[in-house]
Amino acid sequence: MGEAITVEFSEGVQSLDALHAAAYRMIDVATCRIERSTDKLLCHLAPKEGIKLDAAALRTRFIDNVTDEALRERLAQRVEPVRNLILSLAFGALAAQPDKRG
Amino acid sequence: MAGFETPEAYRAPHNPVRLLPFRFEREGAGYLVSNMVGDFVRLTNGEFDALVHERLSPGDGLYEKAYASHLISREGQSAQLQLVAARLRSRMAFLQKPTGLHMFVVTLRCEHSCPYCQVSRQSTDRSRFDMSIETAEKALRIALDSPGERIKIEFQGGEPLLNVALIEKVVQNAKELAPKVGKHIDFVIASNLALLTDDILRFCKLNEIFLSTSLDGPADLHNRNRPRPGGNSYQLAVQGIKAAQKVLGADRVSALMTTTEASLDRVEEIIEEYVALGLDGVFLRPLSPYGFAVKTKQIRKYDSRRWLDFYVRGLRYILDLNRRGTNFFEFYTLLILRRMLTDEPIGYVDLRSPAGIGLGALVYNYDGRVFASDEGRMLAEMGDNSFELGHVNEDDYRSLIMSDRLIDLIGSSLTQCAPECFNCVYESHCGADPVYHHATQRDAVGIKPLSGFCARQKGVMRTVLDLLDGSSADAAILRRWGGM
Repeated sequence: MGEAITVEFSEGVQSLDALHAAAYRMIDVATCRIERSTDKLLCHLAPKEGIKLDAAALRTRFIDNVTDEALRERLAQRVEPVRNLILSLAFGALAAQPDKRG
Repeated sequence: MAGFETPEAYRAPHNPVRLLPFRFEREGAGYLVSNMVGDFVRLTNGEFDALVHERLSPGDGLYEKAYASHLISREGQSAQLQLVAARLRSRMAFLQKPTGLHMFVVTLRCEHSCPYCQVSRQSTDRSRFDMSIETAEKALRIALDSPGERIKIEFQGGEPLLNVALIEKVVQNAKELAPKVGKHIDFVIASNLALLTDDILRFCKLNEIFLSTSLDGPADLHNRNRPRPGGNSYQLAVQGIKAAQKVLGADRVSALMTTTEASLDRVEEIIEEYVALGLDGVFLRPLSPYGFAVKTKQIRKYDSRRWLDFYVRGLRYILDLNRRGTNFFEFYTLLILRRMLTDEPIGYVDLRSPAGIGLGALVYNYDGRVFASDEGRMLAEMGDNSFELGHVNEDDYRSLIMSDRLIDLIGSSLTQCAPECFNCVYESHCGADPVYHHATQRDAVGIKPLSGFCARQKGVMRTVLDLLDGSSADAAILRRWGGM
């Protein structure tokens, strides 16, 4: 089994949801336990049996995933109104009223 | 005096750029990005960074790329939103024609003893494992109550030709009743063809019945996978396919293969077998985790990665055949391509969300129980009745489709909001498949990073995208398959 690592994030900078989502994405390669310590979020990652991923690769992959998940979170908030508008144009009451679309 | 307006008058108003919803995934040195209707575009790291920070302007190339890919719009513009909405509506229009497929399990008996049999066939006791005419009539009434104008009735087994008398009665009754309720019915018999006779072929011809059979490859592989008394499954299947092609027409019979561990190194031979028989394509189908495939541990003999290697090698071989002038498809790839390249409403039951259980198909078991999918009745034979919706004696179409159980299963497994799926770059072209995830993880949603289904879908779509981008010759063939 590969080496377990701990990756540290500042609580004020990184959201817990992004860490959870990143941990979930990596559930096939590593087990992740997240804990709070003062103003830090500590992610303890242990590679699963049979996974050949060294500590540096595991750290890079996790941080990349956290970065992507945090971006997904921010983008989702930004586009939510237009997403809802498109969905209502497609399937909501607006779909049946072409003159009121857009 | 008449004159021209200044060039500024013709420029689009400089309203701010507005991001539209998109999904993304890192790949190599860049990002794979898909818009709300699943169009893909590959961006470099720099392009992706500029996109998410809205640092793009007309004429810089990226603006045009992002605009054409429906990743951005302008504040106040509505046409593009309406276009995306119309495409989305078209893609989901399969929901307007619910339950197009009705499967009648006319018997669970079978004369084959395949170790990977997913339906847990029985070899004895006609009275116990054959569907009765009373049950069939009630099932037919439910099928005719479904709202679609065109439905398909598929006769399944076991081996359905062991109860051919019932098939004949159902077809006769259905043809009498369908016009009265304004329906057209297509019929399919899914058979190993070992019991096919001239009389059955004549009956199929008369009633325009399509035959779907199994062919696992060359004789030794097929007979190893599909044992029967006499060891002649291959000979009878090939004989049946040829006879059906002659009597019914080449386009009225198709074959399916199932990948076992013994198939993995032989994809070229399997494909050549199909080509030699004049079949127009093959479906490189993995084993499913049901029935004897689980009991005999066949399902554990290879994983998704090994199946993907098999699939990629097979697809490359098929593309090579096409380049040399033989028109031949890999049917799953064809389906994925139609999802990726068109906005057709494709409601293939395993590859849609909301899931196809019940809404796409109902299965009437030999004993009258009604299941939400073929795989659901396979699980029931293993003692798990999670996908049993009711019984033909007590239920009608509405009570089955509106059952709490079905609504819960479909509602809880939507990929549009399932963990990881909702952000997955391939979501628009994927499916929920709650039965698979229930069977493998005891959870209808499933943990997708651990899901063989998820690994296969992503692998197939990545392969197809790489081929579309990597070779113009392959792309031309694949675009033709996708109907472009």
